[in-house]
Amino acid sequence: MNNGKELAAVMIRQGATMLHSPTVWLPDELVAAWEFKQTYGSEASFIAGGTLLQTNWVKNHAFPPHLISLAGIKALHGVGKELVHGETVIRIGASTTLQACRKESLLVQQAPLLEEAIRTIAAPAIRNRATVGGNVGGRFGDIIPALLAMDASLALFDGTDTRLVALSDWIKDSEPDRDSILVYVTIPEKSSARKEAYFYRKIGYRDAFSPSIVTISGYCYVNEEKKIEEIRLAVSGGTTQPQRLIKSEQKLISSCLTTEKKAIAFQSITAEFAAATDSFTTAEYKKTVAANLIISELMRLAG
Amino acid sequence: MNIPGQKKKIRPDGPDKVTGNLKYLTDLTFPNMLYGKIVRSALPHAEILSISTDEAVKLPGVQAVVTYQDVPGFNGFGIIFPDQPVLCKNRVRYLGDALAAVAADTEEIAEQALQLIKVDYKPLPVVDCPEDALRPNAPRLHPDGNILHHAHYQKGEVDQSFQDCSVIVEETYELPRQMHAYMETEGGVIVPEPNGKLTVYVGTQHGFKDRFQLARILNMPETDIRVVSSPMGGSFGGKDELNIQPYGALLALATNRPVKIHQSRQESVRAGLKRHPMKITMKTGVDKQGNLRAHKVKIIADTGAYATLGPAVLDFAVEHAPGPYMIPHIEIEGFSVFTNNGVAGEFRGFGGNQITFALEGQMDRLAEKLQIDPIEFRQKNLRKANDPGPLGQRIAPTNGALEVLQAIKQSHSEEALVWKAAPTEKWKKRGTGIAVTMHGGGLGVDRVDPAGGRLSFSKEGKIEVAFGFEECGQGLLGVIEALVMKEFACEASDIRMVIGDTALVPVSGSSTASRATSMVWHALERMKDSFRTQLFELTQLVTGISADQLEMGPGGIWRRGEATTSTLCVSFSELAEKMPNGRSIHVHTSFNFPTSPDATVGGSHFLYAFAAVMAHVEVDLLTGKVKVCALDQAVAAGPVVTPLGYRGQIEGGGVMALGYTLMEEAKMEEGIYLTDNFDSYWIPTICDVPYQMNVEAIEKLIEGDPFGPRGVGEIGTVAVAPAIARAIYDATGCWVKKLPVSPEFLLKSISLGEMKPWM
Repeated sequence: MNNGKELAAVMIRQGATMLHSPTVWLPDELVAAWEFKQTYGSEASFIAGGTLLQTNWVKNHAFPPHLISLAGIKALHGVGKELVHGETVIRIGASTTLQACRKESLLVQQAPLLEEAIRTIAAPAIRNRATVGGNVGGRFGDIIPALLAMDASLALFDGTDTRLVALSDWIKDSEPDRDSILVYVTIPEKSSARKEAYFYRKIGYRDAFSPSIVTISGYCYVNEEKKIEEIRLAVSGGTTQPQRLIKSEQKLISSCLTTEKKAIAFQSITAEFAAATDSFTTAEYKKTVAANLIISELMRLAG
Repeated sequence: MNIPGQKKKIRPDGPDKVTGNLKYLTDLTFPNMLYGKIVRSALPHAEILSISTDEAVKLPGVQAVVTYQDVPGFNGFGIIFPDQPVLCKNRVRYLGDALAAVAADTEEIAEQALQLIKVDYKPLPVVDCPEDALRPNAPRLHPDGNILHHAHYQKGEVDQSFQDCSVIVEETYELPRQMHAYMETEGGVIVPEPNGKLTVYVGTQHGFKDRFQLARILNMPETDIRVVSSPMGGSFGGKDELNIQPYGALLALATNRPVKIHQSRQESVRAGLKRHPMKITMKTGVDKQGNLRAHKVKIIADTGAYATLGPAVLDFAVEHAPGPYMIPHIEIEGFSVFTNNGVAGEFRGFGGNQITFALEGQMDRLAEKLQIDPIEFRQKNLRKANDPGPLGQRIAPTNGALEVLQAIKQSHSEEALVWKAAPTEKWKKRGTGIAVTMHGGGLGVDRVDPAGGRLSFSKEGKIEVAFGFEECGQGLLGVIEALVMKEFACEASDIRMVIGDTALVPVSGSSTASRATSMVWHALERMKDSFRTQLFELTQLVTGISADQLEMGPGGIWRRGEATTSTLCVSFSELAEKMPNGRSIHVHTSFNFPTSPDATVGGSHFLYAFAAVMAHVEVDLLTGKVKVCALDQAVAAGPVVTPLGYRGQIEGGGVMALGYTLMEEAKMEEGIYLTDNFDSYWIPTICDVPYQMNVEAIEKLIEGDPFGPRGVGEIGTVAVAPAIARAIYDATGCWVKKLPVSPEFLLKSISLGEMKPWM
C-alpha cells in the first residue's frame, strides 16, 4: 500500500482500551483510497466526518475492521468556480464541512438555498464535522433536495476516471456503486441568477436537531404572463429516499397556477412522492404535507 | 419574575456545574476499579430454561459473573412491593429484566463477556396493553394476577345525578409513556471497605431507602452500608427506585474491588422507569346554571412488568381526579395493570399530569357546550379557602385555586386577545388556552413519611446543617442555604451543608413528592430557637455578654440591634475555638410530613400547591405542527425561598410538560422500545420553547397558616398540557384527547388533507 499511513484507532468509543481496534488508513491520493477499498472490500468503509457512521455504531451496526479516511485527499477539498463543458459551475469539494459551506462567501452569494438547507441539519457540533460528501453519499441527507432544486451534478471517481453524473439520475439508482468516491458536487452558476425562485422547507419532529419527516425543495421561474417557464421539484424525508418529482413538474410546466392546476398538482405530488409509512408517521401524512408545502411555495412564486 | 425583597442569588452548586468542574458520582474512579455490565433479557416475556456463564468466566479480564445463585439475601426489590427480581431465575417479564452481571478490567471486556453468556428462553405470549392484560384468559404475569392495584372512591349518587344534569361530556383521554431524560444516566461506583462494609456512590432520591433495600438483597446489616447519593445529573423521579446498585454491590462483594457501572442511554431506556401511560374515561355533568354536579372517572394505567411506586401513582391520580373543583357526586375507579412493557413508576407530577389533562379537558368541553368563558366556568366551580380536599378530607385552608386563576386572568387575558388578533403568517392559526390544577405535596396519609434534620455548631465555627435529602439538580442546596441565611442573618460562608450521605445525615425522608423544601423549612422552624439559645449561652460563657443582649449576624454573634453597624461580639470561628472541651451544640428534630386529620383514603394529601397556565399556540395549517409561543404560569405555593430556583422549577417543569404534550413518547411495540435513544425519542430543544416564559408567584398564604413554603418541584408540569390543548382548540376547532398531539391528527381534523386550501 503506497501513499497510505496506518493509524491505530483509539478513543473511537468511550471507555478503556478497545479489544479490536480497527485500522484507519489515511491515503492522500484518490487512487490510493480507491485501492484500499478494492483490497478490503466489505471489510472496509470510507470515512470523512464520521457523523453518520458514528450514529450507526451506537445502534450496534457492525464496526468495520478497516476505515479509509478521506480527510487527507486534496482533490476532495475546496470550493470554487470552474468551467465544465463550456459552462461555469460552482464546485464544492466533498470534504467541505457543512459549517464551512455556511461560511464560504461564494456559496452564500451564489447558492443561498444550500445555507438554508444546512441550517436545518443536526446541531452545530455535528455540522462542524459532517461533510457535503457524507450528506450526499449517505443518500438520505437533507441537502440533497436543495441540490436537486439547483440541478446539481456529482463528480464520482471510479478508480481511473472522474465522471460527472446528474444528481437527479444518481439518486434514482437504487443500487449505488459503493466503491466510487464522491469527489465534488457542482452547481450551475446560472442557478444564482434567480435566487428568489428557490424554496426549501424541512419538517422534523421538533424545531431543531431532528431528522426530517418531510423535506421539500424546488425552483420555479415564472414569466411575465405568469406562466411557469422552468420548474424543478424535489422531496425527501426520514426513511424516504430523495426524489425529483418529474411527472409533477411536467404537469405544471408552461401553465399558470390556476385553482384547477393546484388540484392537479396536489394529486400528482401525492401520487408521485414514494413516501413510506414508518413507526412514527404515515405515508399519507408525508405526501399531504409535501404537497401542501410545495403548492404554498408555488403560490408565493406564481400565484 | 419579581419577588419583592429578594435578590437573585447564585446557587451554591451553580458555578461548578456550569464550568464542568463538578464531579458527579459517575465521574468517580478508585484504584483497582472494575467495570460492571448487566445482561438484560432478550425477550419481553419468556421462561428461562438455562443460563450459562461458563464461557464468559473464562474470558481473560473477567473478574466475576453473578446470577440469581449469587444473591445472598432476598432476590427482589421495589419500594412498595419487592416484586422485581434482582437477577431473574426462571422467568423474564420485560426487556429490562436482569439475568447476570459481569465485572471486568475494562468496559469493553465486560461488554464482550455479556455476549458470551448464553440464555435459553422459551418465549411466552407478550401482553403489551393493559386492556389485554385484564382479559380473563390473559397470561398471568404475577401470582396474584395482572392487577397491581385497584383504587376506588365514591361520594353521593353519581349515576342518578347525571339524570339531573343539563349538559354531560364524556370522553376518553390517552396519555403517553414519557421518559425522564435526565442528562446523567444511572450509574456510580460501589466500593467494598476493608471492614467488610460497603459504600455505594450512586445517585438516588432516598439514600436510606436504598440502604434498606440493599441490606435485604445482600443480607447485610443496614449499618454496614453507606449510601452516598449526591450530586445527581437529574432524576425527576426516575432514580427513586433502585437501578444499578444491586448489581454493582454483588460484583463488588464477589471481587472485593470497587465496581463502576454507568448505563448507556440505550441501557437506561431499556431498564429505566417511565411515566405511566394511562387511558382515562371521564363523564362529567353540569346543571343549567353551569354548576358541576356529577363526575365519573375510570383510569387504566399501564404499570409495566413490576410494581415500584405504581400503586401510589394510581392513588394520586384518583385523588386528583376532581382536582380543585367542588362536585357533589363523584365516583372514581382506577386500575394499575401489569404488562410486559417497560416498568412505569415515579415521575415528576406522579399521576397528576395524566388526570389533569383529562379533568381540564372536561372543563373546557363543558364550558364550550354551555357557551361560558372557560375562566368564568372554572371560577364558578372552584374550591374556596375552607372547602375540603378532593376526596372530602380536611386540608390546610388555602385560596390558591382562585388566586392563580385570577392572576392568569388579570395579567394575561387581555394580552392573549391582542396576540391572537395580530396578523400572522399565511397558513398559520393562533389560539390561546388556560388550565388550572392543584397538586398535593408529601407522600400522603397512611404512608411512612418521616422528616427531620440536624443543626450543629462545628469545631471549625460553621453552622452545620444536615439533611438526608439529595441534590438532583432541583436546587436543594440553594434552598437550604437561603433558609439558614435568612433565619440566622448569616453569610453563605458561615454555613456548611451536609446532604446525601447516610453516614453523615439524619433521616429526612425522600427527596420526592415536592417535599424537600417544605421539610427543610419545617425542620429549621423546629430547631432554630434551641440552636440560637445554645449559641447565645456559649457566647455568654465565652464573652461575658448576657445572652439576652445578643443576636446572630454575618460572621458571628453581635450585640442586639448592632449587627453590621458595630463590631462583632465574637466571630463564629473564635467562638468555636473557645468552646470548652466536652461541650457541643447539636439540635436534632424528627417529625412526619403533615397529613389530614380525617382523610379516609390512603395517600390523600393535606398541603397543596396550585398553578394556572396560559398557553399561546400557532398551528401550521399545512403541516399540523403546533408551536407554543407563550407559556405563562401563576403558582400559589407559599413564600418563595429562592427566586431563581422557583423560576427554574416552574419553567423547567413547563418545558418538560411541553415535550410531553407535543413530542415525547417512549413508543413500544410487542414489549420492545421503538424509541431506544435520543435519536428517536424527542425532547424539546431551545428552539421549541417560547422565548420568554413568565412565572408569577403568589406568596400569600391564608392568615395564620403555619406550614410555610410548599414545594414547587412538580406543580410546573401539571397544567401545561391541557392549556396547550385548549389553545389548539381555540386555533383550529379541534379537540385533542391524545398526547403527544399528533400533527397528522390535526391536519386531518382541520380538513386540509384533501386539498381544501387550494380549492
